[in-house]
Amino acid sequence: MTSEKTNPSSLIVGKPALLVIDVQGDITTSRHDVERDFPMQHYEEYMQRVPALIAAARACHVPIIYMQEVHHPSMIDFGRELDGFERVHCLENSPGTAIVPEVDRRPDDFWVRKRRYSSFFGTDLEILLRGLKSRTLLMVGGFTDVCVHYAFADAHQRDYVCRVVEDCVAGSSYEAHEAALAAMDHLQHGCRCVRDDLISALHAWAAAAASG
Amino acid sequence: MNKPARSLIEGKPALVALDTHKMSFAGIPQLIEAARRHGVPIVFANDAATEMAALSAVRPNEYVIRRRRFSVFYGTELPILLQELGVSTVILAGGETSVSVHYSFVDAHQYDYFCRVVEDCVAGSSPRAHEAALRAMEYMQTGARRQCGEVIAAFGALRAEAPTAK
Repeated sequence: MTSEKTNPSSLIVGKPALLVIDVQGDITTSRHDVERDFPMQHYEEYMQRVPALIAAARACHVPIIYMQEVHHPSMIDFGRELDGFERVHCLENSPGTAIVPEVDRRPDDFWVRKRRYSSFFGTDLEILLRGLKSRTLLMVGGFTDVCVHYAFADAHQRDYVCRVVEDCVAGSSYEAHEAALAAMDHLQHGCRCVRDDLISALHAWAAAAASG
Repeated sequence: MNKPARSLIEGKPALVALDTHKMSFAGIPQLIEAARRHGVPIVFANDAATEMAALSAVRPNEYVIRRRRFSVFYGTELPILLQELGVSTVILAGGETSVSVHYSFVDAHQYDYFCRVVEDCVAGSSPRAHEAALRAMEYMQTGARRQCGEVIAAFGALRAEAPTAK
């Protein structure tokens, strides 16, 4: 068994990858619907903290994987997704489905489309992660209680070290956001972190990696 | 958008009992007994199959799945088993509500099953986590949360169907 370098902060174990989950126009620009309490208030403010983390990851040579939820305009691929609280969303021909330009996706970044909540369900994410030799997954985006939570649960079941950046994720409601963060901490204690601590940890990890 | 109203049971049901040997409350034996009486397939999923088999007296035409992760779909034969059984509705009972039940529900949902959770037959989490998980399941599928009594009644209302081509 090979030994792994653990960052002193213990936020990063082995090689990290940043998973940017569903930071798409439809979601980030949608107004808070008071009647449905959907999505949580100040959603955009949480998403606006994401680009600085992406920039730090890029500076530290940490791979960035953009997840994009899409559905075919025929709606044939929604499965049971419209049987609950959610309405039609992320149609492939809708401008709002695009990953927002503010997160600065570049041609050499990774980009994975998905048709279900979990980033792992029916996607090639695992093949990428295996190739990247990623061990710690850093998760940002939305919704905390749906796509982030279920990507986290799947990553956990696949033995990844999981971190959720709690000031860079936002939920379908504030209550659901908080409950999902608690559920993730139940799976992996210490998984919750804030952006600026993570940025420091990324720089420390990069410095350690550079010194060999 | 108008959503179609869904029945408690759409198509053919299966009862998935998660770690039910650990649950002592009354609803679960009744639920299992009703499923048996009305020919609803039962899948027992556990991380200690022998212990569970002894306690729940699994019958030859029932199914036991050993799992090493929370979701009963992950790394198990459950997806292929449900497919072969021609099941459309997965009914979950057991525990823990916020972990094995919740994440099994998520996978069943993502596999396009109609998912129901018998809310008075799931337990094991803190009251807060239990309620949050039930809400998350109802968020995914309206009408997911059901009572033991109504599930038993729905089993009773199933019509004996001609055997499927499978």
